Amino acid sequence: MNCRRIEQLLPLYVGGDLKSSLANRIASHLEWCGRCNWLADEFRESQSWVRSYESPVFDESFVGDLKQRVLEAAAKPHSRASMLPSWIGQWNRRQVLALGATCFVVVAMLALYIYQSRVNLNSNIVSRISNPEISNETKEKPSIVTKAAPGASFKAIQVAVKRRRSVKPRTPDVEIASRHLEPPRPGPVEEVPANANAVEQVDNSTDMPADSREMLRIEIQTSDPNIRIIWFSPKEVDRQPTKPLTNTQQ
Amino acid sequence: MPGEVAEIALITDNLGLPDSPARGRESETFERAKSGDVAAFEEIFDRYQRKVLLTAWRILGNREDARDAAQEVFLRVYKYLDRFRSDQDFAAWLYRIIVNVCRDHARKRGRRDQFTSYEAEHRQGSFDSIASSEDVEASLLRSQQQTMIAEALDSLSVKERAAIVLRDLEGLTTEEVARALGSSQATVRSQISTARAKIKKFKDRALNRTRQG
Repeated sequence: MNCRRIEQLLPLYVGGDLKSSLANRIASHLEWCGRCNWLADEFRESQSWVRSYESPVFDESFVGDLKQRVLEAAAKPHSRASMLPSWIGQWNRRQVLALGATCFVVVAMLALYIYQSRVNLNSNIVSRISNPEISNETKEKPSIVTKAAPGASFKAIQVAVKRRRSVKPRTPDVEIASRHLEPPRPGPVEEVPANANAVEQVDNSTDMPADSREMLRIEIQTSDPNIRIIWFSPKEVDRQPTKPLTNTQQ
Repeated sequence: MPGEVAEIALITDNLGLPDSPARGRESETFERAKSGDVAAFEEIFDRYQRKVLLTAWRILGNREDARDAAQEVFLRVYKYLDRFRSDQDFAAWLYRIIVNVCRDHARKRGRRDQFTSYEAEHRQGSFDSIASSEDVEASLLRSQQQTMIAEALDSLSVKERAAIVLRDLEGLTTEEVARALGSSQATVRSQISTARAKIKKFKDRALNRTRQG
């Protein structure tokens, strides 16, 4: 054991805080090492210096005041119950900050969730597939527009959306159908039940009712020959300008 | 604090702390206090008030804070006494509460206030000593030394101070200090070692300053 290691252990050695075997090794080192021996004396002196710290005398009035305060506080009805306030009262600043941050994150996530669900509701009101047959079919088969042929990376995405001119009161059926017809996110399609007619059904949108034919049809061919995006948009209809109200009592 | 009290409840019996001569009578007092007997609680207060006040004063460094801490300690004792088992060592349980309360007080108060109060406390004490002592010079030296010790203790962190107070001033063993602080013995040894080294360094510097001045 070298002097450096002894120096580190001396504060514990002088206080008798080491195991006897280690203390014996240090003692044998101190017998021949003058510098470490001198350092050990310094530590002993320092320790006895601290132990000479005098304690104050607490007079009767001081103790009496304390006793009165304690007994008064103990006599209060909630002095034994209600652990929660004292529990919270003991929290330090870091814990309070951590709790606050956690609460903030939870509230923010909740607000985001509510906001997104409202946005979805609004979009559901204005978007719907006009063909009721498709709506009915999609109720039964949620996977509509994608199909993966065996052995090929075939991917077809079609979106058909018609804006209704007159927004009917929203019914649960409408909501379910429109939810199912939301465009699928791009990405690999892992597994799709065979539903080959789904594409044709959407393509047959020309069989839509008369009012639906007033829609503008936009087809976009993507770089992938198997993917075509069809977009329906309401046509601008020239409307007869209404006569301005004039005073006819001339 | 429920968690803290649950930990306190884990402290096993006799830690070798100064034992009451009439342990049976004492446990009877605890039982009465648990059932809400205020006279029994007063008895406990009278028996332990000096220990609580002194330890709190040594850790916190001034009388007012020590009194507030002692009040809180006894209130916690009153609150959680029903969780204290008669076969446990009350002194060890009490030390644990004292240390926790003092830590909370020190945390709330901050370090700067503490230093000034240490200084003011001893300055006031020194004037009292000078007025009552015939040997003015010796009294002044003693007072200066007490102030220096207080400042040396103040230079430690709260945990180191609690460890050194319990070990060197209260005379507990390392194991008892570890239980009171809720730390491992290795941690306590490390804290004690650092604290003693810091105190020695502080003392050397202070003595050098005195010699040069």
